[in-house]
Amino acid sequence: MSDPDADALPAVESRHSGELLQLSRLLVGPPRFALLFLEYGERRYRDAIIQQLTAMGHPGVELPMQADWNSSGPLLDALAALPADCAAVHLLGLGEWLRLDEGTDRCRLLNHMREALGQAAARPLLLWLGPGELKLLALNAPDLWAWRRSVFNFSRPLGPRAEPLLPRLPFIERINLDRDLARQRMESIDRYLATNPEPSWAVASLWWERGQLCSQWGNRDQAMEDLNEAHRLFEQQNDLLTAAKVVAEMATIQWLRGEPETALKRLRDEVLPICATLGDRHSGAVTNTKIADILRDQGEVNAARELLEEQSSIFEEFGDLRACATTQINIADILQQQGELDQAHRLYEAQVPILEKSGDTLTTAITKRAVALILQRQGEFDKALDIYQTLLPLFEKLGHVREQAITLTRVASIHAQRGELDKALRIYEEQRPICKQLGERDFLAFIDEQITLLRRLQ
Amino acid sequence: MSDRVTEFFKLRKNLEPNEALDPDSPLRVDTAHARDTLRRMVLARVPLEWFDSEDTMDYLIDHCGGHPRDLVRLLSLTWQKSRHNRLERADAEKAVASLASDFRRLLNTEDYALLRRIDQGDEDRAERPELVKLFQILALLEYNDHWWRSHPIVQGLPGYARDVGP
Repeated sequence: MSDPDADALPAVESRHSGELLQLSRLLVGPPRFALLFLEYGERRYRDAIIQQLTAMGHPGVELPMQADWNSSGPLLDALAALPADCAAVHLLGLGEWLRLDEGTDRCRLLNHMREALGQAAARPLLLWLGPGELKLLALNAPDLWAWRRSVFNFSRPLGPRAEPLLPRLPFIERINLDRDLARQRMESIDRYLATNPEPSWAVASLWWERGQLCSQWGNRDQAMEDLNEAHRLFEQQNDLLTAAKVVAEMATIQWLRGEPETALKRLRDEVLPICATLGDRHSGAVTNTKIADILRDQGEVNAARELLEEQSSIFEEFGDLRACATTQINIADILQQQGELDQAHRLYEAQVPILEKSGDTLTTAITKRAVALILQRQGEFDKALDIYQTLLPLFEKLGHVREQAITLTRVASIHAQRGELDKALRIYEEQRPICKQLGERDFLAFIDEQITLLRRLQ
Repeated sequence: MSDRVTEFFKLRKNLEPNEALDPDSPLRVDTAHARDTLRRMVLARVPLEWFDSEDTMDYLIDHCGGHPRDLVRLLSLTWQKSRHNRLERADAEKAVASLASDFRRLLNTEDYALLRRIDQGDEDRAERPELVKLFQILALLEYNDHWWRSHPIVQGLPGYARDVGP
């Protein structure tokens, strides 16, 4: 890296993921000459992109243009002196160098040395140019410009236009919104989208948030429609990483609706390769956690557990305590499935304070519900019921229809186990249409089975 | 100017942008021979099976302005944008958008106005520095018989479409 204080470099934004993926296609394979123009706005962000390319497996040598290079010789010599294993060259300070003689003479020099540059570089030559510099070079060195393989834009939007009119809510804030506030939020989103705003990253984000809210309220058909629109817009904006994250959410819905193979295929074919090419291990770990959930559901518990343990250590490495705790909960789910109730109980309990500290009210509540299920399985009905009754108003307040339905069916099963068949039957019957709307085949089959059984016993 | 060119300009006088490329337009320029040559050029580099359809190949040919380097560039950009090891129409559209973005970076309002006048046959064809710039960046293409025409991708830019005034 050109900057010794590399830790302080800005994070590479997901909106540049498409540019990075396309650039990486030109940097793989045996090195050969390719002339690439890269625009940037801020020097430190340029350095962050170069660092990111290295993380993606494309290390390059940085070659700063020197003020006294007045002829083609020094640049060609510098290129010829590069180590043989150098896969790409980042030509830096080109704009300042061009401006030293008001541009034109040095542009002409580059124009005339096009062929020689190709021979001397013999590998991808990345010409980094600041605002206005690319136009200066292209217009004054048209023969060089004509040889461009591709132009990449790593500028970041600056100023007030960078701020969307209605910014997307951060994750924790969104999942903790109570139902009324969430409804108001949805109305604001709808009002904004009804103005037919120009397609943009901000608009894509709002479709994404809308899809997530619909999913949370159990309107999965609408959620899929909104997520599809978000995906289309993110792809259009060339933010392929966020588009892939939206695919992962659609895959989760497809899995819950009884299409695990489709979900697995989408996660493996459409999401994981993008995370891997971008070197984004954290997003890869989030995706693998979803894959593990599906594998567990399909009975492949050992593969699921192994995958989860790998992801847990990745989250730990990133210091993402919330994701780490969530993964531990998934492991506890497997332990519970295998009958290791005490071990699962301890693991769940250990995650609660971490989740509470992170502010993730929803996952905290789901974890407490998992503890209640263990108590229920151990015959501690009163304790389990107490927990369920405490959690129900919270799920209702947050508007999480699915979590409410799951909790109520657990309450129903306690009633059934106690012989209170009417109470149990009423709850199952009330939850059936909700479950149908969710489109979760397995859940619906379970409720139908319970209703049939209870009616027979009555 | 030869009679054929004069006739050509007469025909083109009232052409809407891109009408020459519209397959349903009676004014469509007969480019069958040129298209065939460009197709052979593409197929010498990429097997037909790599395209999702022949239309995608033709779409690239329609947008290269008959310029071989731009055709190769569009082909390369399509490959860069593809994620399924196939050259699909959606990727070809992104490639065209990418080349459009290159032009947008370099052209200003006066350039669009000049290109429009040339396309309408209203421009004095004297050599001027502004024209040199447009030729050099391939925003303006010179064909056989000295027929000048702006690059088809330039004709699709909002700046070109906006500049319809006198």
